[in-house]
Amino acid sequence: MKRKTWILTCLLLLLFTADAGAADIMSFDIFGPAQNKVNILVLPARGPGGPGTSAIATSFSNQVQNDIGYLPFMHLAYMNEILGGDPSKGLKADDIDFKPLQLGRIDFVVTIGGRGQEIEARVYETYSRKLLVGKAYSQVDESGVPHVADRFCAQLMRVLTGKSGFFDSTLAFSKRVNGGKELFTASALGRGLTQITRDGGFNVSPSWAKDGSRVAYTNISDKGHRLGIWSRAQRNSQLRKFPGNVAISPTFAPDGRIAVSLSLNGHADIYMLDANMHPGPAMAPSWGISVSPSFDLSGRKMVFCSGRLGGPQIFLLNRDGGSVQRITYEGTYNTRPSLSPDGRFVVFARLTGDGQRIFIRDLVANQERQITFGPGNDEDPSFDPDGYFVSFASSRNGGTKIFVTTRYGDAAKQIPTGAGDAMAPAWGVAPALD
Amino acid sequence: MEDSRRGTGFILSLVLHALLVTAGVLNFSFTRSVDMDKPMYSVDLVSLNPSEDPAEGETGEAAGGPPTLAEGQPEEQAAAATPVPPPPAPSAKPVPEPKRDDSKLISEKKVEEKKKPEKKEEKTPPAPPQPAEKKLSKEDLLKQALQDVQKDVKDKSKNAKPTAKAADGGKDAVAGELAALRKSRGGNIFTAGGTGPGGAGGGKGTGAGGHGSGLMSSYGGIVTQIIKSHWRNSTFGRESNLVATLEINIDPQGKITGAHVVKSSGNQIFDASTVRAAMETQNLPPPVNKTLGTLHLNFNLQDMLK
Repeated sequence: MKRKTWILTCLLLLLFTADAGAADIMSFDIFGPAQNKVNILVLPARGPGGPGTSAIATSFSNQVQNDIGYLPFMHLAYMNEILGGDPSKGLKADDIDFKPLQLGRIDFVVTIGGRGQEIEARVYETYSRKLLVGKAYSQVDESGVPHVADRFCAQLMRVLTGKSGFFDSTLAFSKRVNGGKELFTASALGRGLTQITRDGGFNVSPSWAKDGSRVAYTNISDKGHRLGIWSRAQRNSQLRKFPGNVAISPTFAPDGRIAVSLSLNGHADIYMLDANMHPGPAMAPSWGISVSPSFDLSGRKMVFCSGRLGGPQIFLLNRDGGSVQRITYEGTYNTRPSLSPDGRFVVFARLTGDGQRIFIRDLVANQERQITFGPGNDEDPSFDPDGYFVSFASSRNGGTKIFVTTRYGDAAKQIPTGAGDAMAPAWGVAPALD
Repeated sequence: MEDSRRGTGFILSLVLHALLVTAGVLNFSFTRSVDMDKPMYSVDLVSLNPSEDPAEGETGEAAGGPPTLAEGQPEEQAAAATPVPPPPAPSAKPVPEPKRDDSKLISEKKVEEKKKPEKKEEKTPPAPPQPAEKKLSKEDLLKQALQDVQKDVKDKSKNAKPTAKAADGGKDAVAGELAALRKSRGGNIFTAGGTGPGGAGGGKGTGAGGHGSGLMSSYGGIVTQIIKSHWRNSTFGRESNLVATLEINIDPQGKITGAHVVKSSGNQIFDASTVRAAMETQNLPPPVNKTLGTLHLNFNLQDMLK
């Protein structure tokens, strides 16, 4: 009986003790971060003798910081923002005092070390102190540092966002050469600038095949319009003439075929070419001209520019049903549409009172906004393979150069393309040429 | 043998009764989900107070003390929580009787209906009617008050030094601000159940709707706003939503004493960003309910679709 009384007493004691210690819980929802940028700090590069004693590590560090500057979702912090200066004694987590980094609101920290031709680079998350990226590169000479830095940043971007199209893709663009225009390719950071055509005349409107194996373009010369196709494997290009003497804005569809504007019936309509380069029926026939097709990744949607209702406006062709829908209603001159890979966004150039500007239209939300603001003219927008970055040509700095922004209209950065005007950029999922 | 069975039965009966009593005391509601979509006018405890001294009506009992019966709180619960009801003080201000059991939103009409019996009770000191105050919409006033409080508390939390003194000073920031604002409006806007700490809804937040009182909701709004302002993450590359649930422990002064992920999003970088947001916040306004020690925050990467 005594034992039972004890058990009872203990039970009651337990219940009331639990009650005394119990605290209420409330549950809330937070939708979306207030800050869309994460803070990242690159610690001073270290050599065998401490910070700054390895030239290759210092060079690599500078390149990494330059690359991060292209990523609008990252804020590059500086050492003077950290209380007490460099909080590290080495490259690994145990060598880093994370407290001042946390106080400085640093989300990620990069450590870089170098010895001879070897480079080590790591990225840590500052609260959990977990290693997110750890890479070692050997036999790196000074000329190879930018390429290695790009690879490292591609890996960092992949870990943070799941995507790395910005670093893994290549731009093809038109550039003035000897009074004409030829096509060049370079990475999104301007690395590996290479002239890929030498056709004479004016090569314009490049478009990458989805696998990066070919570039289609228009060659304009005294022989009229010709469709050009450059082969990456053969490193040469072939030109083809079509009836009607017009071949404008050729574009690769996701299945590898080419859609191009031809004038087979007296005015330019868009035709899909078969494997033998024979045009099928007009894709969105009308009495007005239709040019500049652009496809989503599924190939079911195609946006294009057409004057079927008067001035040039952007239209959407639903290839499954064949219906054509007008996309732009503002402005009287909307041209050069580019459809995002997911088919949700269209970027295009609009003639405004201040010149040409780039606008984006969300086809789901049915909203539109301006993403470039000059000065000069901003033209030829093109989505990157992730549908996040937008490249375009602009005369804002004198001459025409290629710039990159995002679909949110982040500050545009110029892509180095060497001397001479560069325009009509097109993104492709292809590694840069050697 | 028979005695032993009876004894066991008796003890079992005692244990079950003890459990029942404990359950009644605990009120079976440790976790509440605050519906942030609830419109602010759902704070239904506002009525015109005929009393001369408006401050009296605002003073609520501290949480844990003898609970003042809140409007919308079931009478059975109140009875269970107060086994020995304190004798009513003769000079005490008449407390509006909780006649309604339903916890739905109270319409404007119902508030008006409650005014009448109050007036009858207070015939001796007739409250001078203030026509200017009648023109004010209670929704407008409360909205404005809460907006100001949110703004002030946010500013304070930014500037406040994390000293115990400062924390104590800001203990009743929300309630204090509300009281001050009501006074500045002429002092005749009151919460029938009292909106002081532990007032409306008491410790268990049994205000209208059963999801916590309007004050608790506004506290939730302030908390989410402050923590969200410290949350950094890139939405780039994430087409699908990520959700992580973070448990945050706070002390009665609102200081965040710990935070850990109780339900992972499956993405460790995202999870870490939520912990960083909480730890960088450091201090929240003191909770309106002193027994509130834990917050569960569901961090959604993507904003709500509009």
